[in-house]
Amino acid sequence: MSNRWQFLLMLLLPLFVFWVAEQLLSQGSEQLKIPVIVLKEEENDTVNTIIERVKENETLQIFEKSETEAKRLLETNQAEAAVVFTEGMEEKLNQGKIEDVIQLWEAPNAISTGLIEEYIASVVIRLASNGKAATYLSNEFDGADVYEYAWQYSDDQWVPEPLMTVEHESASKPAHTQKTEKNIKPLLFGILSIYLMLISFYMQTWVMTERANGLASRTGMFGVNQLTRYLSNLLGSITVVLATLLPVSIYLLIGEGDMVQNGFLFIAYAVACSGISFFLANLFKSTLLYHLVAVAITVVTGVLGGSFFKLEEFSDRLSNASQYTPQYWFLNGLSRANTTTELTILVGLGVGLIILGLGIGVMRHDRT
Amino acid sequence: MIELRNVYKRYKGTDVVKGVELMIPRGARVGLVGPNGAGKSTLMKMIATLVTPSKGEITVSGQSVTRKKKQLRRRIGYVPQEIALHTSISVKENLKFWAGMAPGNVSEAWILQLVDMVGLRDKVNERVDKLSGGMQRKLNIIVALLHNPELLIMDEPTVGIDIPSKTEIVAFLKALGPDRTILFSSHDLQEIEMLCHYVLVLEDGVLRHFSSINDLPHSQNPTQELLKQLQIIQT
Repeated sequence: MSNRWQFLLMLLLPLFVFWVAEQLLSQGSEQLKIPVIVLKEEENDTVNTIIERVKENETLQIFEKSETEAKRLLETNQAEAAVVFTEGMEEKLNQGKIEDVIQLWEAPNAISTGLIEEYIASVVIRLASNGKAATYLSNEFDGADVYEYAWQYSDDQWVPEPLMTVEHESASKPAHTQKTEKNIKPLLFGILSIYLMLISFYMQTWVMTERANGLASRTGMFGVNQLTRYLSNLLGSITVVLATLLPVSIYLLIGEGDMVQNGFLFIAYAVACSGISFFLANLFKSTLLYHLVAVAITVVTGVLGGSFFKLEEFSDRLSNASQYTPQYWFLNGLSRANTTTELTILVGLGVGLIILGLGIGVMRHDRT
Repeated sequence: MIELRNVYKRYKGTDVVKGVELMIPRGARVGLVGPNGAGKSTLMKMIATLVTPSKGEITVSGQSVTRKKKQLRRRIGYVPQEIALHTSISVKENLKFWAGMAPGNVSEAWILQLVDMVGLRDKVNERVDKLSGGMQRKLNIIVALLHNPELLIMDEPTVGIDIPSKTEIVAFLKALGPDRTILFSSHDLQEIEMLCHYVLVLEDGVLRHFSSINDLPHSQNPTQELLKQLQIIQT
């Protein structure tokens, strides 16, 4: 490390990158809302009231669009769902009928239509109950004033809303903020797992460059044992990887469970990544091929292992596949009280591949 | 000093060196010529103890290259074809690094002498990657000489540099004295004629010719003439 500024940059750059990522992610997650389109086949107070009520939900972003535009936005996945208030809806609701009053169209990639459906239904049932009660009383007492009074009285009974407690109402805001913070950390650890694997691949390129630039032969001629050279270079590269990511790891690990245990997990993951990259660097002769494989492995194991999102929740098959990636064990270990299994698997994987890589390297050394 | 007896090297099912028999006296400067893929580098690496022969025996000063490699490496300097240096650090730092790794004690006086001989004195604080190709080649050679070996094996040490730098390197190698045995491969036949006492021609792993430079055909370009007689196209 000839340039001390370069070394300083090497330490501070990841910290800066993760700080920026954190800022962007927290801002993004605060603004994250589900885009929902509403389509009105009739224009009246009931439909408008429902839309106004739906707009009060902080997780939904409501747009009023034409049918053609709604279909376009759904087909291109720019909206999650479209809620269609069908013709004759008001009349049906006043009669207490809640079937066939609303249609829900969903986008091809929609994942949250259940939530939208539940929320819209709760608002509609509330208004339908108000209408039914008011119509009943209005008919019983034959007076227009009774309808409005009864409607309002019925509506007031929904505050607090059924199935939603006052505690939820009061805890809603702070809970929202806490949830945002909790959601960012797994994402940041996911990015860290990718970052660390890529740096490990980069750091092990010495295996190929020293073979190509004659340094391996020269070192051998100076009486340095091949195994000693390999192990000292490997240890040096792991140390540089750990040193590079030490500040950012401390920054991320603060307040995230047992620091010492997570620190060991971090080291174990670095050993696993170095093992994979060291093995491949010895296996491949072409630097270009090595770099291509490095990126492919990082992306594939990152996706499977949950660096970007929890893929294991999608199917049992993917859940099983994710267990073959080091990212899975690293990221899972961070949320566990006991990480003995994770540490054993990561260190075992790393050391095993290092031994294999050494075997290939030593065999290859005696070739022209 | 160097003796090869029926030496073979097999690689991926193909013999790249085939039955080479050779005796090189102490202090001789031997030029290795031959087309690309003739087995020059493999032969040199086998003598340098870096590659193990598949068959036959190689001895340097009576010691087999397959046994007691460590002791033998103290007596051999090897200059690879590539610039085997840490290019992001200075000349001085490189010399210090390699002197620290070299077998035996390396005196500062000897390092300075080598630096002066190749004209690198005023470049010692410069980063290696900032030096000219010729300067990098010179440094590449003197690093191999840090432990003052009696045998210097050089695999195309002047490839890709200008003629004045080549001439300077040849002059430097000659100045190393008559006791140092040098094995020198090159595609530049004039360079071989300027430096070497002997010429060794290798083709397709087979030793085609080994003689004193004085025994070459009388011609303005004797080595070229020899290759023509042997019907070898030098690439």
